[in-house]
Amino acid sequence: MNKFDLTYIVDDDAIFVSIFKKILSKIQNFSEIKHLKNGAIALSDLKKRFDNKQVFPDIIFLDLNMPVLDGWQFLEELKQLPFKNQLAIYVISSTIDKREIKKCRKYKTVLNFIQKPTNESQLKAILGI
Amino acid sequence: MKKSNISKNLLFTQKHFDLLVQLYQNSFVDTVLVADFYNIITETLVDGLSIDRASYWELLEDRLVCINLFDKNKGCHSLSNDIQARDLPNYFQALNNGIAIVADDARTNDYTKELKYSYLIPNGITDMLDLPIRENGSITGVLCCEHRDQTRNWSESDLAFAKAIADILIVMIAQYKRRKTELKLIDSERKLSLITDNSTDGFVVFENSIVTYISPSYRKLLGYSENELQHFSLQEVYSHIHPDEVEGVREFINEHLAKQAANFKYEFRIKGKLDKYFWREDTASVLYEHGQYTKYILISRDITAQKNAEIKIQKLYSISKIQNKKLLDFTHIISHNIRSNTSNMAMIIELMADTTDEVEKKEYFELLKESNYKLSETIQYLNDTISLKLNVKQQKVVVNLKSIIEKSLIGINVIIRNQRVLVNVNIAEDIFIRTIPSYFESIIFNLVTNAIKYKSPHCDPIITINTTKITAQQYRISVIDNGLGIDMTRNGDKIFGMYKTFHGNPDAVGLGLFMTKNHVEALGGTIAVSSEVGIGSEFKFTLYE
Repeated sequence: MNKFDLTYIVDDDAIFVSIFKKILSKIQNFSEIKHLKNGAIALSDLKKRFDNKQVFPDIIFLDLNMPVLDGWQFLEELKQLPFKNQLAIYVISSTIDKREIKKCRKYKTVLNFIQKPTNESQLKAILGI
Repeated sequence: MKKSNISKNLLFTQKHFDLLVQLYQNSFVDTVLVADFYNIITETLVDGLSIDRASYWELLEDRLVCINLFDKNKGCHSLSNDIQARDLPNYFQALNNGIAIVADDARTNDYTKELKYSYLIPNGITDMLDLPIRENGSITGVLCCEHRDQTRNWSESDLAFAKAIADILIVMIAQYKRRKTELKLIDSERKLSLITDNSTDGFVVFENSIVTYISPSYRKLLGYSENELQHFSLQEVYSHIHPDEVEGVREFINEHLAKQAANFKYEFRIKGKLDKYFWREDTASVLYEHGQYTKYILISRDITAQKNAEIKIQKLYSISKIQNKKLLDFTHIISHNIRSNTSNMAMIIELMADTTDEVEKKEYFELLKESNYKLSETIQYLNDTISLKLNVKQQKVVVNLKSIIEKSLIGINVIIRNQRVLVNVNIAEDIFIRTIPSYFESIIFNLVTNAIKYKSPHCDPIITINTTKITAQQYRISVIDNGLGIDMTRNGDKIFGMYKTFHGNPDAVGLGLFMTKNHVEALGGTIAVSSEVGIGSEFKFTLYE
């Protein structure tokens, strides 16, 4: 069984984050879960971890539509950073736009796309738990 | 009988002389119709020679056609049947070779007996004196003097008289023909000037890069008097072409002149004397000599109506394109915003169904209530936006710019005071605009509250509202702040989009600027922003007077 010591949820929707945390807690493989309200906050957090030589999160759930720095901008900026290959990112969004879903595959750091709404069994299947 | 020779010392009788003078005088009267003149000729011949008949015939292709015939006994003018020229070879040969056929006995004369049965006997003619009428050396007709019954001996005086009349006739015919061509020319010139004077199309001729001719109507259309455009240089013409087209036209013309193209066509706007622009389509015909163009002839067509229609269509097309894009964006936004709420609700319901723990269930129920509230709120916002788009037909009224801005600020007086905001309204008292007051107030309200909401943490907010006159009817209004500023490279293209917030403020719903843009556009204006992080932002929108 895969274990995730540190999990990031990058999403501005507080209700979704509460629900998602519940689901993750039911799966029981996620120890520490951190909520970051948008891409900019997530990016500066990751940069700080890199500078301080701290461990990176084992998994990042990234929403697309967010204020300040949205999911796409986050991925674009990440491209320029040296630790881009040390991250495991899952894009999680309620978008049904096929072009957006396809676009996710262009980013090497994105492992998969998760469609909102989601549930325990679907998550387990995608994450291979 | 033989052809007669004319003696060198012609003596007209007094009668002949008087008649000739009279005829000669008549020939100067321009108003005399050609038919009248033929009458005079034949009558003068009958009178002067004391004969029965005189006639004038024209050779039309293979036939002799009687143009005028005067018969003394009948006392009137009439016509005779056509005669086939090919039946009279000797007659024509004689006319060709000499100055007259003098036949004292026409029925036996070598040159006239061909006419015996067809013409002479039926008409009772016994004597003939026929003279050829020539034009450029070729026979075009015959002048015939005819007598009946008694034998007539043609005298030299008769011949001289008839010859003088034939000469006058030749002169008259030439004169008549010339006048006819002149009339035709005048007529076609009049027709042409009718076309060019009343048409908005025109002709222009350049010689050695200088205007040497411009058709009057085109000149008048451009507002110039007759002498103003003579010697107008090519450079001066270029300086009258609209700045949007001048370089393209210059390049196009030079390119074609370099290739020595004979014909080419181009479109542009040209300015008249009163700075008014006209759309033209010029077709150029160019003559070259030794590789240089010598004559440049333009047929300039007025395409203003066509162009205006084209521009209107283009405008409508781009409006509908923008509308379509907006509609598509709007559909995506609706679907996304509604979906994000319903997807939350779906997940909550699934979690609720999976648990038996009452405490947990209650927790989910609270989340469900919150989600439901958010969904209603979203739908409310979307509804507001749709009604804004639908209400563009509201009446515009004329308002004083300064007072409407001050009125917009009244509603936020408390915030302005509490947040220690300094608002400078630098607007002249005498500017009036046509606007929908509720929209305008909403624009100012949104821009000012935004500026306060995103103020700098380091200093008190200062907001300046300025106005600049752009054109006679257009104003630009600027709202300048010293707040946080927006990262333009990251967000420049999304500032006015729906549900975009840039500062992560908890009460930002991302609708303010979207609504503001819609309000400005509904009023027929545009909005733009310039901003720098840490320094402030400037929102500029245009308005019509």
